[in-house]
Formats: sequence, structure tokens, C-alpha cells
Amino acid sequence: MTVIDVHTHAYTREWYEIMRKHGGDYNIQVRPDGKEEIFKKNTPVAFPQPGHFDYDLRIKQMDATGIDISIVSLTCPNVYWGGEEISCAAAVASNDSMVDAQAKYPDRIRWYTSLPWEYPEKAVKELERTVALGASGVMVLANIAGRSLTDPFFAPIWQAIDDKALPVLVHPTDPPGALDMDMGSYDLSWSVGFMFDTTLAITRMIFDGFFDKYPNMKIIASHGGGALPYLVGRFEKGDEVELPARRVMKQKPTDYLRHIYYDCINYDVRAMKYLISIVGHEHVMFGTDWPHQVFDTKGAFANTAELANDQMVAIRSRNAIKVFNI
Amino acid sequence: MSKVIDVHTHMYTAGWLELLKHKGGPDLTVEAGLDSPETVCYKGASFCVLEPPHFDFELRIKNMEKAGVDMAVVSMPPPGVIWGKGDVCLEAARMTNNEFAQAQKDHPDHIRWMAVLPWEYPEMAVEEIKRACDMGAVAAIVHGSINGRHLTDPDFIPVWQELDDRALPVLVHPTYPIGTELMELDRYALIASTGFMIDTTLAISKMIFDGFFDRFPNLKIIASHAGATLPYLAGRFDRVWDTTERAKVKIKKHPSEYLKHIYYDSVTYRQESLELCVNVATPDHVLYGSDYPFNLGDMEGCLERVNNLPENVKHKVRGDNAMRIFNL
Repeated sequence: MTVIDVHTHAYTREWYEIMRKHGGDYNIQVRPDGKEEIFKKNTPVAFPQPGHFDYDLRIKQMDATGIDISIVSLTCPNVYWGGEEISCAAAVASNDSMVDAQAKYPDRIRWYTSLPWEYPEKAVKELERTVALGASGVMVLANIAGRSLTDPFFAPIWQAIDDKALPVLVHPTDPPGALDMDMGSYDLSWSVGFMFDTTLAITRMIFDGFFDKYPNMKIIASHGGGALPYLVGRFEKGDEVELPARRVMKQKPTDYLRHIYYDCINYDVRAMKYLISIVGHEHVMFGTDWPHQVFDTKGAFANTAELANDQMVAIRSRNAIKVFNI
Repeated sequence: MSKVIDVHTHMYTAGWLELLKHKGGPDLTVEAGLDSPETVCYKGASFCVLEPPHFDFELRIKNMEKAGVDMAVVSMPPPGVIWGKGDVCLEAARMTNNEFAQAQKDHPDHIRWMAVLPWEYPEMAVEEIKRACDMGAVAAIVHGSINGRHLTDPDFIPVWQELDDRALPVLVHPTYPIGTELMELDRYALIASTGFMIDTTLAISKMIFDGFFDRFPNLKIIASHAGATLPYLAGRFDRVWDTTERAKVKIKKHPSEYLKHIYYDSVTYRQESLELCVNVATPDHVLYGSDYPFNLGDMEGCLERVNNLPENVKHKVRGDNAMRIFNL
């Protein structure tokens, strides 16, 4: 059976060095064990691993675990820093490295394009350029340097993505307010901060009527949707009692939750089965978060193995084949 | 049939509301509601819509009888008494606790109550715990954050110590979370739908990773709204603990072990969510709750979902667990 990993990350050295020099609040700190780690001020954001930079190692891992295709994305802090020129250059550096990877491993690697979202015209140009070069989807962080994804400023980019009906991986980063929320302690940014970021971004999209405006794109909510699936009842009940004037959407919140897609990065088979019960197995796709230290390839296989065969096949590959036109 | 005890149900008092109107500003204001006579706003954003039964014990008990709820452990929801300077804060707390104590006297079969405390003034808060417990309080309520401060803030230690010494249940109830403005929660009524869930989740995950439950092992923390997001995130917490050093600094066991140590109400609106909560929490740690009489409150629906649980679980959740942990 084919297995497609829709949530797995790659950095490139060139991007990393640009970020080191121009990341602004994003800074690289040396850990007690001598390894480097990326922070936003003092909030942990990402801990680069050798696998992030090494496609040969990635393919070896994929072979060893049974993954046929990885749809790789640049993870946080992406390219929303450094000013226009730097942001564009960082996007090009990352995207071009993925073009090369796909050329080297045409049967194994697909990729999401990263865009300089703070500069909509440039972002649309980079989208056009990279789709022509083979990008299968778009990766976007759940907030753009503190701005909501529903900010009208980003509308031209969303329109261009929607026109192409592309999949978009909405991936968390440090959420706005992370410092006040003290997410530098105990790696709270990873355990809960990331979940808040994804949840808020997509909740806003739902209430904003975003999916009515952009019906063709296929949003993928990272990490089993953050906390969205668990809040479904609260959204439904809220919709019964809340003033329609406060929200713009045309359908019920659950309709939108069943319109978008999710990866299966839950780390707990109970949560994954719950996710499926809420959104349906045709909207969940296989993901591992490799090679971040919290990656869980073993869990992704073990959890999906507990499903009925048809559901397992849908999640491990059939849904991704459809969504990404593979 | 087991008794039905509602552990998440709210009352305000008329005196408290008057005081809030005079002393709550500038951040907290009471405005004419678009869908109710009045609503409490944080910096202009409505987040607690006031309903008539919030102020009327007779009406509440009538509605409880209609819904099949035997007893309510009432508590004051946000914004509680975390506004005004010390004297005002203490006055608001005492006034509320006195009124709740009176309600218990008037309706001994139907009403128990949670003390509201002036947390920012720890000495006063400790005194008020003693006074409230002498008057019959069976628990305390606290917000997920106190004027932007975390519940694990060292200033609050004496209050937690007193609560722990008494092994009291404490309902951790959300308010507008830290970071509300930065997260742009003023739009789409996001404070109540999502912001509240963030407040509870952050408060309790911080307690877990901070080793709070090892320091205060007797406290019975109740995580509002079926644990907000916690049951869905349990696996992630364990994975972060397994793979990162900083998550392990203060605790020696998996975060999910602490998730089985605390308690949860049944204020969720899907059968599947309640079942996931029971599964993660264990059946001895889930308590019937309704969030009545807020517009999101639902005595009947929450009870129906509890009654749909397996026979050996539902009686625990309806009231047996509450009888045990509140010593009723």
C-alpha cells in the first residue's frame, strides 16, 4: 500500500544562514548540548535536526519506515522576517532546494511552496514561479508575523491560491502573545502554543466566511487540527445562540470543519479516532512531523493500523492522492 | 437512580453587579447587550451575557427541577472579583459569598456553593477561604488567569496552600486569556468560543509541567468545559515530555498521569467529546456540569449526554463523583 506523508519538514542551509543573519526576533541559541535551536525572542520555535537538511537521510528513513512519498515543507519560522528583499530571497532559497530535491527523487519527494506573505505582490509572483516548477501545495504559518491570516491585506494571495485550488498546510508557529503567556517555560510553545495558533487561525477563517470566499483551496489543519475537533460542539452550540451579526459565515461551523483537511499527528489513537468521528476519514491524511524531535512515524503507522482497512487506506494515501493530484 | 449534581453552574448577585458598574472600569464595563439587557465587556468586547436566572435562585431552582437536576454547586463566573483595588475586591467577594451562603440556607436541598476570592490580595484571600468555609462553601472558583497573571505565580502560593490544606475542589474557570488583544479575540465573539478554551488549557498545562500537583497534592482541580482542549492534547503532552528536556525539568512522570489526577465537568456539546474526556480522565474524574444559565449553558443536553454513557459510568458522572469530592 502506498503511504504519503503530508506533514514533514525540510530546511536548507542557505535559508538557515539567511535566517541566522536577518531573522530579527527569531534567533539561534546554542543549547547546553552544543546544538543549535531557533527561538522567537525566548520562546522555543524549532530545533533543527540533521534530517531537516539531508534528503538522502530522509529517503533512507522513508525506506526504513515504509513511506513512499513525502510532501515536504519549510517549517517555522518560515520567511516572515528581514524585510522584503530578504523575505523573498529566503523563500526562493527554500523553494529552489525543494525543486532540486524533487528532481533528484522524482518518485519520492513533493513539496509545499513558502511565500513572502508580508509582500502580497511578491508572494503571488513566487506562487506562480514555484507552481510552474512543480510545487504541489502552499505552506503557511498560522500567523504572519503576528497578523491574522484573514487580514484583508493577504486577500490577493488567497485569491491566487484559490484560483489554483491548491492544498494549503496551515502550520503553527509561536502564537501572538506567546511571551505574555510564558511559553518559554517547559516548552509550552510546543505542547500548547502551537495548538492555539492553528486553532485560532482556522476558527477565525470559519467565522469570517473565509471558506465561502475561497471555496476551492484545500486547507490542511496541522496536528489533527490543533484543538478544533474537540471544540466542535462548542462552535455548534455557540452558533445557535450567538448573534449572526458577529459572524459572516454562510454555513454551520461543522460544515466548514468537514470541508477542510487534517493530518493524523495526534500521538494517541483515541484522539485520532475521535478526529475521524467528527470530520470523517476522507478528510484525514497521514503525517509524521519528521524530523522534528516530536515526530511520530511509528505512532502514525500504529494508530492508522487500528482502523478498518478502507479508512486506513484513505488516510495513508488515497485522500492525499486526490487532494494533491498525485 | 443517582442524584444529579451540577458542578459548573453560575450565579451573579445584584449587589456585585452594581459594584462592578461603578468600579470595574476602564477595562471591564457593563453594556446594553445586543441580545440581552446587559453584558459584561472586556475593553469593549462582550464576553459574559447576563441572563435573568443569574440573579434569581427561585427561578434557577424551578428550571433545575424541570431539567432533572437535583443540586447545584453554584459559582460566580468571570469577571468574578478581580477588579477594583483591595477593599473593593474584598467587598465584592464577601458580598457574593454571603449571598451564596444565604441561598444555601434558603434552599438546603438544592444549593451548595463555591467561594469567590480576592486572589490578588493573598492574605485577604486566605481569610476569606476560612470565613467562606465556616459559612458552608464546599469549593472555590478561580479564573484560568488573574489579571494577566498565571495561577502558578509565586504570589498565590499562600492561597493554594490554604486550599490544599483543606483538600478543597477548585473549579478552574476561564476568562479572557492572557494575550487577548494580540490574538485579536475581539472579533467574531472569539473570547468565549476559543479564548476561554485557551485560558483553561494554558492554566492547567502550566500547572502540570510546573510540578504544581506534586506540591499541592490534595487539591482537586476541576478543568472547566470538559477540560477545554486538554483531553484531545494528552498524547501531544506526553510526546513533548518524552522528547524534550525542558518539559521534564519539574515533573517525573507523563503529563497524562496528571490529566488523570484532575477532574473535568461535562460541559461539552457532543457525545463523542464527552466520551473522549471520560476515556482520558477515567470515569471517576468526570462530573456533571451545565454552564447554566449562560446562553451556552445547557442543563438538559449535558444531562442527556451523561445519561448516554455506559451504565457503570453514568451514575458516577451524574452525581456520585461529586458527592465524593465535595463531601456532600
